[in-house]
Amino acid sequence: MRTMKQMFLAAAVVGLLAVGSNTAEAGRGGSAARIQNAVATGSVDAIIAELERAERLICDACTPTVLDLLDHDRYELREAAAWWIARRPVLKTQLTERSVADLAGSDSRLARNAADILGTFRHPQAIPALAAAVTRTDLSPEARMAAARALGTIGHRNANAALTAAMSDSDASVRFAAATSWLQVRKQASAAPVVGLLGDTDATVRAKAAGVVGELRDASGRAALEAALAGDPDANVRRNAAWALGRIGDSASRAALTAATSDPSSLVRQTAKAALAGL
Amino acid sequence: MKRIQLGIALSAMTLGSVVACGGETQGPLDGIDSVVFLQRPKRNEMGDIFQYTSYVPTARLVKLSPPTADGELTEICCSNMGAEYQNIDISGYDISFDAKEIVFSGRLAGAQAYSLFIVDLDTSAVRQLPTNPNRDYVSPVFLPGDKIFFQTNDLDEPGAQQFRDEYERGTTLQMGVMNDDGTGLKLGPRNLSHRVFPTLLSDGRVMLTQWDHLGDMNAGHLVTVHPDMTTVREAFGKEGTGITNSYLKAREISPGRVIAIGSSRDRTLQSGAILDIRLGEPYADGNTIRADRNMSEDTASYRLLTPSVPLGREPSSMTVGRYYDAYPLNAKDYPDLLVAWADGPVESGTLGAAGPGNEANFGIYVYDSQRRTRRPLYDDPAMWDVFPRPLVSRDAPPVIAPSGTHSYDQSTTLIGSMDVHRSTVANLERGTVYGVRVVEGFSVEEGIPDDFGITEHEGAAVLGVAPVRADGSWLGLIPANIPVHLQAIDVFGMTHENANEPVWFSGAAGESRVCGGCHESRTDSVIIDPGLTEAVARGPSDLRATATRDQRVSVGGFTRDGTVGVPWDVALQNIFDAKCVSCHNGTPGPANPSWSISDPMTGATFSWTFDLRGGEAVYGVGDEMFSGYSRSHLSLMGPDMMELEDAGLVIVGEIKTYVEPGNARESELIKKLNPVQQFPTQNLGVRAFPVSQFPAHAAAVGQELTADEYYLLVLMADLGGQFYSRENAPN
Repeated sequence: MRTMKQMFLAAAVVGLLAVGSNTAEAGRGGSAARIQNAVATGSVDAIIAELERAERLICDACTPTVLDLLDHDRYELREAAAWWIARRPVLKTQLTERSVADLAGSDSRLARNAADILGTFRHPQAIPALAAAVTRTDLSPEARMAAARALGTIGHRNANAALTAAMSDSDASVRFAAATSWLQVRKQASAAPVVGLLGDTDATVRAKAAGVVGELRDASGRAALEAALAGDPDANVRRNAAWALGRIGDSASRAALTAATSDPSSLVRQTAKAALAGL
Repeated sequence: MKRIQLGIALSAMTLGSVVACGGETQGPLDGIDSVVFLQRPKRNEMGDIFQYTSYVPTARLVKLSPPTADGELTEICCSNMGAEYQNIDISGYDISFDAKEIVFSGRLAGAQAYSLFIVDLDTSAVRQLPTNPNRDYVSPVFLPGDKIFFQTNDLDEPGAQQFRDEYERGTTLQMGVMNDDGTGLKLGPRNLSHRVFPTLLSDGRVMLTQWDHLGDMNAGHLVTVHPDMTTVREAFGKEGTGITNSYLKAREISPGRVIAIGSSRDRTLQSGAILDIRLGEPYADGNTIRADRNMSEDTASYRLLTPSVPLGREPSSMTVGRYYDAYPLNAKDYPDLLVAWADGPVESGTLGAAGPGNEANFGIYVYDSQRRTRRPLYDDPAMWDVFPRPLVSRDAPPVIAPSGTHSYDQSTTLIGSMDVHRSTVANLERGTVYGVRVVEGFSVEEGIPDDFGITEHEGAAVLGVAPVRADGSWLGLIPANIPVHLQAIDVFGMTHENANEPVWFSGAAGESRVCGGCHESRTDSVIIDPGLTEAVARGPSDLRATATRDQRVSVGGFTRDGTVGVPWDVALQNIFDAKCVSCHNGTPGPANPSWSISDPMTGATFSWTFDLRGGEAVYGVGDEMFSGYSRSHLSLMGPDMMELEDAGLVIVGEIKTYVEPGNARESELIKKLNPVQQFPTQNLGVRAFPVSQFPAHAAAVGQELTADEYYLLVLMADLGGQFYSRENAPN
């Protein structure tokens, strides 16, 4: 832990660079020094703020620092760095090509970074490369999860097949990301592939699946939701199933919801009552 | 539990305050048995002032009784509520009018979203409200009539995604209302960017912070809205009344008067200085100072109660610190406040550099704004102690009756003005305004993979033009719940000077939003009976009121009436290719001026010659190249001059901007072409500007444009010069 003296020395340095402003300076007032200084502080908030401020700054000296951030441990920083680069088409083109190659390579960390970069660039043309990566079991779960997340960030229906495949992944984080991304796809009308996740071995995946099926009001999931409401060991899954059944709004769910008003969890009981009120 | 830390006590003493060391009389807290506040584990990541997803488990709601430095702290919620609550984070709360319940926003686990809970203070029972588990619900506020107002990133438009701020990429929060039993959930009309930190006013309205971003506008202002989420009105921050970038966490002191935190958008952990904002003319009512007379944004004023605290994002000084929030204890001219304050450099970078364990430490204090002294009440050094409030009952404000609905299709919103010529910002002479063009806004959530063009403007879709009648009135029906802005246009389709409204607004289904004029005086009365306007008599124009988002695109070619978006590569490039590029083709000469920029440090140079051909274009120096989107786009819009200056580049030649975003009338391109009459009928024989001064270039060189082509170019400029439109979004 650093001392207060160190803290105020840091304040003096930061203060020279983080000058006061009465304007938003959205995309204005950035510099390489400010980005580098923010990176040196280790503060995610400060780094992101300075990247945003240098959104359109012509700044050769910024580039090496920002490129380094693409390999940062924190997704938030990798995303912000990729967003900054997305404004620079020459760099963007180079990184797109490199990222597609990294996704096809064997280094899982590079593949993870590549997926985050391509997701942030949000071009549907990246979907085939991400779709190929998301099912590659030789890549780490983190890399596959990043690929599933990127498909959601792009949000195009062409990603549906890949997301469906990712829902069968052996790792729960990938299946969770796939279900989450399913909801981010524009004009998504059906949750049919997600229904299968209501029987997943992982409770967070089942809970997410119930939420997705409910939000999309996919009546094909009603029976599975009712089963989850009646018998899932996890209260959050049962709670989300009750919410989803209320959202689907089929009066045939009345018996299941009525039974759930006696659930041992207050979260479930309350949601079931509200769902019943809406049938 | 460790009590007030020595360092903080000393820092308070250095300001000359009296440090409470025991249970002596508290002055402004007399008669208050308990103070409630929120304890969140310390952190150095909150995002900018609009972010809401900072999750660190084990927050709790607590009560200090009596509210003295040696009072007893008891937990209200939630570690005592069972296993499901052990990892909860709580981001905000409100106390019911009878002080028997608290509604709060909590997140039970990292894989879940923030949802709403109500805890009964007598029984300690907690119930979760049945919100969408995929979406965050935050900042709940009790409303009279057993309702709860909240902010959420949920939305109710099948197939669509919530607005995503084009700049900082956050999924926006919008407003909603539900009954306190969890039924009747309704989401309100949406802003194109964030709305955060709602609070209830004594007149029954809700005040909140709205991020306004349209073109160059980027700031967080205070607005008011009725509890049914209609009738959004500007309250403070615009029109030169403000002092800093953003105003947040407003709390009413007395009618017409609020306390708010003024701060930079980022790097301040959502904390800042304390402002006493008067929304109208201040006057004394006994010991109370009110400001509810003549309330309007242009008569609002403020008093800075913490003048030493930075209003920007620079690190705050030792003993000065920053304030997370403030709650008024009385309504004196200089009020006493319950505040959450942290000492030292409350700035993300400084705290990050100091390392773990040196996060900002917000504690609870009583602040005497006249003497500018703080008296410590409670501080847990491991937690942020924030949002302190007396646990007392209060009068519920009157229930504002739901706004009446219009008499047309109830899925739509009715908008209009009684007399468009009534304006404080534009000189609109009678007979010069043909109509009002209504422009829908959207952002990158629709799939545009980049910015919308070189300019700062968001996606735009023209819903249509409502004609202004002889008495100055106009009416139109638009889709509900979408952000729009208005342009008062002439017969040439060009927006009048200062009549391109710089802010988005929206209306609920069935809502009628008819104003007096075109940003009319906020203090004058509009005496026209709306039932007597000609626009009402004739009925509203249908401005794609029932068209779905997918249907709100250009159809049948890019004609005057069929154009919604103006996709540059499709709608405009064909014009350039057919009628311009034979001369304007990138060959240096009088028809194609050149400019260059160079980096004096590296000697790297970039040159550009005017070129209206299509094809990719970039600009910059060295490896740092920016998208010009296309050769014609870069040539007409020009590079971002401020960034060239910020980068210290040397410019050789004149970089002309031929299109002024949002202002066709003052755009050199439009003047040179001298557009033709568009309304009520297109007429190539009538020009917008005197031909003697502006000799209609295209016609003069034998490349006359069609009337529709003139309109497309005017529309492009008035909308903001975007390259991409909804028509470009991937299917």
